[in-house]
Amino acid sequence: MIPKKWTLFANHQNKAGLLSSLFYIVVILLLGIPIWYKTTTPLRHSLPDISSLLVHSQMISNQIEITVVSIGDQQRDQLRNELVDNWKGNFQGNVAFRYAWKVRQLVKEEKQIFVASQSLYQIDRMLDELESHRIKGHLFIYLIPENTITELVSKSVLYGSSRFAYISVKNDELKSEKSNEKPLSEIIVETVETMLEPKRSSKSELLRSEASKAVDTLTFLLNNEIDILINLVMEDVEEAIEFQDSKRFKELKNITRIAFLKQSGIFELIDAKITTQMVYYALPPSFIDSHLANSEKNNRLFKTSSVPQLLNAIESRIVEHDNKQSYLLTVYIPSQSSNSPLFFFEESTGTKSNAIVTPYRGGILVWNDADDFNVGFKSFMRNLIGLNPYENDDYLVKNNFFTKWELDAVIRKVTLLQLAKTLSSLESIEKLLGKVSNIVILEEIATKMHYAVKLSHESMDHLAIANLEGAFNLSCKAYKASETAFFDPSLLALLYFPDDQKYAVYFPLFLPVSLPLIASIHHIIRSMNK
Amino acid sequence: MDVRVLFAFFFIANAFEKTVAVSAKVERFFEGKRHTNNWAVLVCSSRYWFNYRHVANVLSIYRSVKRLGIPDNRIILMLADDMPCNSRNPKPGTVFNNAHHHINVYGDDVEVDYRGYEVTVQNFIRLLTGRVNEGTPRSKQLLTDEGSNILIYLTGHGGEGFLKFQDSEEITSVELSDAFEQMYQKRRYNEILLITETCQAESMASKLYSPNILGIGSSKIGEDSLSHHGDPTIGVYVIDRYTYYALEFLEKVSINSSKSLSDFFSICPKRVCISTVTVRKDLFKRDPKNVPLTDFFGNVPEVKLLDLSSAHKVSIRNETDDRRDSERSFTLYSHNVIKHKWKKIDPFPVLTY
Amino acid sequence: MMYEMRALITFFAAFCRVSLSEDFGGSAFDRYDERLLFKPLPDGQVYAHFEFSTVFDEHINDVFWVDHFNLFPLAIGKFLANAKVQEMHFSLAKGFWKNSAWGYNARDAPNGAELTVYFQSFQDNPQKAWRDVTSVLSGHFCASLNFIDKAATVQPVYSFKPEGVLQNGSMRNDLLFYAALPHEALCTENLTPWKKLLPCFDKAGLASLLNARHIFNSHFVSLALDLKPICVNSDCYRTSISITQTISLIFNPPVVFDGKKSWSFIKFFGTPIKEVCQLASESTVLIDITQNDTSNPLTFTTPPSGLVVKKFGEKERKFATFDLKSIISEYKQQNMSKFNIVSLYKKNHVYASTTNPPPVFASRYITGYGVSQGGITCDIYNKLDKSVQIVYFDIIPWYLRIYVHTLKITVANKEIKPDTFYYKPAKDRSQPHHIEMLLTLLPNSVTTIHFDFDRQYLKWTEYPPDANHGVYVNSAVISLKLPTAQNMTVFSETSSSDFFLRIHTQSLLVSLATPDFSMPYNVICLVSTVVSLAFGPIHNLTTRKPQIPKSDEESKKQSLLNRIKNFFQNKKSHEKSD
Repeated sequence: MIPKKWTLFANHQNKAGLLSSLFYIVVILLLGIPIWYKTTTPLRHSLPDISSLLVHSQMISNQIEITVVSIGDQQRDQLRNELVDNWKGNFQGNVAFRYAWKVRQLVKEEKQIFVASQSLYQIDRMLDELESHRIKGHLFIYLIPENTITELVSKSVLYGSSRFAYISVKNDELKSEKSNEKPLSEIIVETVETMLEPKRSSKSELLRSEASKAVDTLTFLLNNEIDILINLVMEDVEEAIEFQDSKRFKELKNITRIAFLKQSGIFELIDAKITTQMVYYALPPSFIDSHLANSEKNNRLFKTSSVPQLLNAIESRIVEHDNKQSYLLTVYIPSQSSNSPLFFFEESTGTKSNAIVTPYRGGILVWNDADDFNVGFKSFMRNLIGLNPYENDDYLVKNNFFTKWELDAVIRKVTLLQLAKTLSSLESIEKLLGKVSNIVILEEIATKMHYAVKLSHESMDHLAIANLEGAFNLSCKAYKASETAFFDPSLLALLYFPDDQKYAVYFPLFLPVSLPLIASIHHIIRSMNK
Repeated sequence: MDVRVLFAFFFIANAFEKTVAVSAKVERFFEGKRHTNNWAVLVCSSRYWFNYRHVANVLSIYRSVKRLGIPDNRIILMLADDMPCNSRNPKPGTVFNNAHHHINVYGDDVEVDYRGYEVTVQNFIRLLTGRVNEGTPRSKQLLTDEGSNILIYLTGHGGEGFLKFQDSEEITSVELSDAFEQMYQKRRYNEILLITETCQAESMASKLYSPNILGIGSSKIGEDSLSHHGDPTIGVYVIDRYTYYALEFLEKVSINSSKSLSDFFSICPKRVCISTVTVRKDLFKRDPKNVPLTDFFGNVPEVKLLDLSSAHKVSIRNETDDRRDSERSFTLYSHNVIKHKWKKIDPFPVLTY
Repeated sequence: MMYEMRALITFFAAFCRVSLSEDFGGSAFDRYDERLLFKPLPDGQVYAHFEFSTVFDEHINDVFWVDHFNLFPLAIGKFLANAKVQEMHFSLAKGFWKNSAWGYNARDAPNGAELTVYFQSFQDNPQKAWRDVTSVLSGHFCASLNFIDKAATVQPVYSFKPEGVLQNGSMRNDLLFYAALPHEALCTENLTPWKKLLPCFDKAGLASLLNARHIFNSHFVSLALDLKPICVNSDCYRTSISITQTISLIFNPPVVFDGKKSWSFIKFFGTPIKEVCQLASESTVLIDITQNDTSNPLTFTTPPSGLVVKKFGEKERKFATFDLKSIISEYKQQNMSKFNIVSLYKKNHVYASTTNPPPVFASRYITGYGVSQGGITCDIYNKLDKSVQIVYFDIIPWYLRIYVHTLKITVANKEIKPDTFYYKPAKDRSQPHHIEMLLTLLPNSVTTIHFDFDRQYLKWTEYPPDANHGVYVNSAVISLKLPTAQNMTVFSETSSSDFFLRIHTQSLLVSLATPDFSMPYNVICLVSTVVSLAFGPIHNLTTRKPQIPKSDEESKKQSLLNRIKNFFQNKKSHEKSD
C-alpha cells in the first residue's frame, strides 16, 4: 500500500525518526561548525604576556657602579655620606640611572702604579691593565691632590682613555681646586653624567641646527653588524692605476685594518668589516669643475647643493653589494699633479670642509692633505656610532678612535634601544592581530616571541645589577628574535580572504542542508512542548 | 625618595631621539616630523602587449622620481611584462610616452626589481610589510623606517575595490589598507602618497584607515580611466591620460622647485582627463598646499659638513699579539702547510667500464 | 668554419697568460683585457663577440679575507666569498643561436638564463648555498633567477664538468649545480649591472660600444659571465681567479644603395670609440678576413695595425687586428678623438643560401598533437667522416611525465644503444626529469633521440598567469669533442689534442591543458548542490515515517497540488470513459 503522506515523529510514535533527527543535528553542530570555524579563521598560537614586559620596562633601572678613589690619606667619610645621601641617581633625563657609590683609598696595586708612574698617561694605561678595572660600565673617579700631576694643573677634570676620570682636589678640603662655589660631590656627579651620556657639541656640525637624527646608523648598531665600504674615487685615472703602490694606500690600510679594526675596541659594540674598492670612471670628466662655487685662491670649492648629484653619480656607478648592513664612505682623491685641493662649500653659511655626511647614504671625504684620511676616518666612525666627531679638550688621550667609557655609553644606549624596539615590535604584533584578521601565528613564531620576552626581562634584570655586558648580549638576542618574529613570511601565510567569500564558499552547502534540519528542530520543539 | 620608583621609559637622547618605546608616545611621535629619506614603489600590474600603456605609465613616474634624485636602490620597480625588449617592439630597448617618440621613459640605466611572473599580489604585499621570503636580495626589499616618505604608484586594470595583477588575480582595497596598517604599526613610513591609475581608482584609497596617507586616484568610482593616444608604429595605445599629464607636469619640476602637492592635484582637469581625479586627504595631517612635491617625488638629502679642523690624529699602536692576523694565516690557503696541486680535468667524461 | 673562432679566443687567452707569467714571474697583480672579434658570416650577417677578462691574483679559497678590490668587481668577490663558489657560468640570451647557419658561438648560451655553479670543497651545505646564489644573482642582474627552485635544479653527472682547475684534480658531483630558465627575458636592466662589473664601466674602451638600444636591435644577443680558478704558473700550487664577461651579437647590416652590405662601429653601435680604457693591458679588435681570398673581399677605412695568420686544423685563417691603445694615442696626437672602423665590401651582396654548417649540430622539437600526450625529438647531425662521441643532457620539467621505455635512439631507422645512460626520474614539484647519455654519432649520419610524455595537470594556483601561452622546456645541451683540431698547438693548456665544445638546442614551448580559472567556485556550488540534494531524501527517509491517512476528512484537506492532480486524474478517467 502506498503511503499517502509522510509525517514527522509526531506524538512519540516515531522514536527512530526523533533519534536520527537529533543525530543529524548533533553531527552538524559538532563537525560542521568546527570545520567552518577552522577553515575560515587563521591559526594563532598564544602570544606571550607583553603587558608585563611593558610594566617592567617602565621601571628599568640602570645601576652604575662608581668607585671614587681618593689618593690622599684623608678619610672621605663626609664625601661618601654626601654622595650616598644626596646623589642616588639621575632620574630627570630619558634614561634612569641609579648610582652605587663606593668611596675608598688606593688599594695596593693602584698605589704601586701611582708611585711608579711618571705621567698621568702612564697611570691611565697601567690602571687599565688591572683586571678589576676592566668591567664594562664600571666607572672610576680618582681624586688627585692638586699640583701632584702636571697634566692636571690647568684643568679640574680630565677623562681617561679607559673608564677613569681624574679630578684634581685641594689637599685639605672637600672642594675642588678651581671652582670654589661648587662642592666636590657635584663635580663628581657632573663627571659621571658626562661619562654616561657623552654630549655632542653642536659646534662640529656646521650645517643645519636640527642636526641629523642618525636614524640610518641605528640599524647597524641594532643589528650589531656593519660592513663599511670605502669607495676610492680618483680624479686622475693614471694616478689611480699607481695608487695601490702609493704611501697613501698603505696608510689607508693601516688605519682601517690595524688602528680601527684591531685597536679601537669597536668589536665590543659591533661586528665591523671594512672593504675598499677602486672605482674608476665614476664621474664624467668635468663633473667637479661644473659644480664649483666661486673659487677661493688655490682651493676649489664644491657646492654642497650639488652633493646629491655627486652621490647619485657614484652610487649608480658601483654595483650594489648585497648586504643590508653596508655603510658607504667615498674617498675622493683630487689629482696630485694637476689640480688644487677640493673642499665642500656651504654657500648660505660660507663654511667649508673636506668631509660631509648624509644620512642613509654615507659620507664623502676629500683626501687633500696627507693626514686627511686619518682624521676624517676617525671622525666618520665616531659620528657613525653617535659620538661627537672629535674629542673635547678635557680628554686625556686623543689619539684613539674612542675611549672605553664612550663605547660603554653607546653600548648602554644600544641595549636600551634594542629593548625598546623589541617591546614595540611585540606590541605591534599584538595590536595587528586585533586589526587584521588574516594574520597567522605559527607555533614557531609564538615561541620566538616568548623567547624575546624572556630575554628582555633578563636583560633588564642584568641592567639593574650593573651587568652591562650581560644585558647587552641578551638584548641583542631579544631584538633579533622579535624582529625575525615580526618579519617572518609565515605571518602572511593566508592572503586576504574577504568575509563575504568565507560565507560564499559554505553557503551553497549549508543552506540546502539546513532547511530540513530546521524543520526537524521545529518539530522537536513542538513535540517537546506537547 | 625611593630609588626604585623610576620615571617614564627611556626616550633616548640626541642621536637616538627618533626611537620611542612606549606606544602612548607613538601618536605624538608621528606628528610634524620631517622625513629623512624617500622611497618609491612603482607597480605595473598588467601583462600582454596591448597593455603597453601601463608600462609606459609606470616608467614615466620612474623617470621622474629618478631625475628628481631618488636613487635606484630606493626605487622598487615592478613590471609585469617585458615591453621594451618585447619582440613586437619595433625599437627594442625603448618605451615611449607618446607617438612622436620624444621621451624614452625606459632610459639607459634602468633597474627593474620585480619582473614578469614575479609581479604578484603576494610579492607586493610581502614587499610592503617587509615579510619577504628568506634570501630575498636587498634590491627587492623595502627597507624603510620611520623617517621614510613613500610614493606608491599602481597602474593596471581595476574595478571598484580591486586592482588586477597579471590578469589572473587581484589585490583588494581592504588588503592594501591592511598592509598599510602593518607598515604603520611597525613604523615603516612617515608619510605615504598613493597614486592609482586604474578605472574606478578612487576605490583603492577608500578603505584606508592608517594615518599620514594621501590617496590620489585617476578616476571616481563609476568612471573609467582612459588612455591618451595610440601609436601606429606599435599598434596599441601608448599611455594613459592621467599619467601623460602627470609626466608633462613633472618634466617641468626641478629638484629645487617650490611646487606643492596641491598643484599636483590639478594637473589633469576633467576636460583633458575625461575622468575625475580624486584625492583622499582626511588621513593626511599636513596641508597639501604646504607640502613640496619633492617630499614624495624627489629626494633632497640632508648634507652636513663635518668640521675636522680641531680633530686629532689616530696613532697606530704596535701590537705584537695579532690575533686576527694569525687567524688569517691559519685559514689562508696560500699559507697552508699542506699544499695542493691544482689541475684541470677533462671536460668530457671518461668512461670506465 | 666557426668552431675555429672559439679556438682563437682560447688562443688569445692562453697567449696573454704565458706572456704575463714570463714578464712578471707570476707576481701579485690584477690584469684586465678586452677584445672584440668580428666575423662576417656567409649570408652577409656579422657576428660580433666582445670578451672582457679580468684576472684577480687571489686564491679562490682566500677571497673571504680580501679587503681590497681593484679591477675585480667587489660585488662578485663578496658573493664568491659568502657562498664559497669555486666556479660559476651564467648566461642570459635572447634568441636562438642558429648553429647550422652561423657556426659555433664562442660562448654558447641558450635562450633565457642558464646557470652552472661549482662550490668549493669547504662548502658544507651546497643546497642552501645554491639557493643563496640564485637569490643574490637575481638581485645583481635584475633577473628572476629566484625562480630556480628544487624543481628546476639538477646536479649533472657527465656534463658541465668544471672548466677551471680543481684541487688535486678531483671533482665532487654533489658540489655541481645546474639550472636554466628558458623563459627569462633579456633587456637593458640586465645589461647595465653586467656592464657595471667592468672596471671601465661603459665610459671608455670597447665597452663604450655597448649601447642598449643598438645591442637589442640585433638578431641574437647573449651576455655571459664566467668565473673560474686558473693556474698562476706551471706548477700550479697557487691559483688566481679569472672572470670573463662576454657578449655575442649577430647583426644584419642593411644593403645600402650601392648594393653592398658595408658596416661600421657607428652603424652597429651608434657610437665610435672615443676613449681607450686605461686599465686594460690589452684592447684589441680582430676582424676575420679569411674570406677575402675566396669571396667578397673586405677593406677598412682605417688600416689595421697588424695581421695574424693562424692555422686551424688544415685551414689557415687570417685576422686583421686593431690595437686600440696605440691607435687612439696616435689619434690623440693628431687631435682626433673618435675611432671608427668602417669596413667596405668590394663586391655587391649576393642573396643566396650560402650556409656552411659546422660538423655537428642539432635540432629539437615537440611531436604529437593535443594537450594530453606528446613527444620530444632531437635530431643530431654529424657531417664528419669520423664518428664523434657526445654527451646528451636534457632536463624535462616534472609536469611532463616522460616514459623512458619509449626512448628510442635511431640512426637511419636502425635503433642503437647509448654508450651510457643516466636517468633520474622527476618528483612532483621538487625534481625535474634528468637525462644524460653518452652517444657515438656515426660518420655522416643523423641520430634521432625520441621519447614520449604525458602532460600533467597542475594545481589551480600553479599555472602561470598567461597559462595559455604554454610552458617552456629547457634546451638540451650537447657536449662533444671535435677530433678535427688534431694539429692545433694553441690548446696546449688543455693538454689535449681534441677540441671540446658545448652546444645548445632550441628550447621548447609546450602548451598544457588549462582549466577554466573561474571554475573553483562553480565546482564548490555544484558539489554542494549535489551533497544537499542527496542529503534531503536521506534525511527524510531516516526521520519520517510513512502514514496512511486515517479518515476521509483528512483526504478532504488535501494540498493544492494533490487537488490539481486529482483534478487531472479525474479528467483523464472521464476522458477514458467517454
